[in-house]
Amino acid sequence: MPPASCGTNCGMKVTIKNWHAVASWTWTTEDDVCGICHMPLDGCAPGAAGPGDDSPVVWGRCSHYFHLMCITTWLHNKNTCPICRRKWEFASAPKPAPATPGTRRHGEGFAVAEAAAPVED
Amino acid sequence: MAAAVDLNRVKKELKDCNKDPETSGIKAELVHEDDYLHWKGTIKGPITTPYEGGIFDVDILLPNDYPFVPPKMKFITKCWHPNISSDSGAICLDILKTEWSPALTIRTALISLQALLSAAEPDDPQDAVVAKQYKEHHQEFMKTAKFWTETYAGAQAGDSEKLEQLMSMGFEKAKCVAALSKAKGDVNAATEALLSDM
Repeated sequence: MPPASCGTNCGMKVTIKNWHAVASWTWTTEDDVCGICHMPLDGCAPGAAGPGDDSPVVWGRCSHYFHLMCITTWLHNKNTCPICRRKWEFASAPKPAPATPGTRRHGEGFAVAEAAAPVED
Repeated sequence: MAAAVDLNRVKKELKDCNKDPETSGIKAELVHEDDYLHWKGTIKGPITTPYEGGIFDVDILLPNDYPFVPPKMKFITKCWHPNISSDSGAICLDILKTEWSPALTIRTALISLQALLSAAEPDDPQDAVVAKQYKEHHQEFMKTAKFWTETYAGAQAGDSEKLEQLMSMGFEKAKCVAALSKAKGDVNAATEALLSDM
């Protein structure tokens, strides 16, 4: 909301004292669902407390990706990628992922959410 | 291990199985309403195979750890095939055992079964008798498989095949056609008529 006049040129000035920005974010994936649980990657893996940080998406070296909870359960059975059957190795999120240092959570290998815009006075 | 089957996925899968029955030749339904762990799948016998024209029912049980372990599948409809037990309907297919992956689904498993009907693996048999016949007396195998498809999977023998059957006994084509049409397509009756006519 820019500082603005009332529109009828009456000269009243509005000063913004405080504002809360809201940003939306998404995992940088091409498919929209997890190949294991078939739920949206932005959504909730079965058993996860909630979407987002409680249900992170992880990448393998083979470039396939799943909910962390889903792939972890599978890796107890077999150490392969469910899609290409290559040996599963965790990898960092692919290049286009916005890996801003301040927002990296859960350490290496996990996708990173876009940070919300800073609050401005 | 997951404590219980993920019903969200399973419900989606049921829909997915029935999205294009005409083109895929695959269908599935719950055996009992509200029991998402027990399904009945249906596969159309692939064309240009001895299973053509047949409709094969498959019993599907989802274990509690599904989709991290494979679904348990077996043929309900009797089927003469090297990788399917002619007695119990048990199936020998790698993706239903060691090669299962949670990226697979009931739909893809049923499609794999359809592919198995098209391309048997006689060197990895479930039914040794059928596999031996497949390898050593292939003509015989084709006949038996077709006969089983007609007997158990509801396939109708085509008119041209019936005609061929009669002609293979040494009767003239014209006579076979007449006998077959008089017997309303019943090969046995037509055969008898042709024999008594001699």
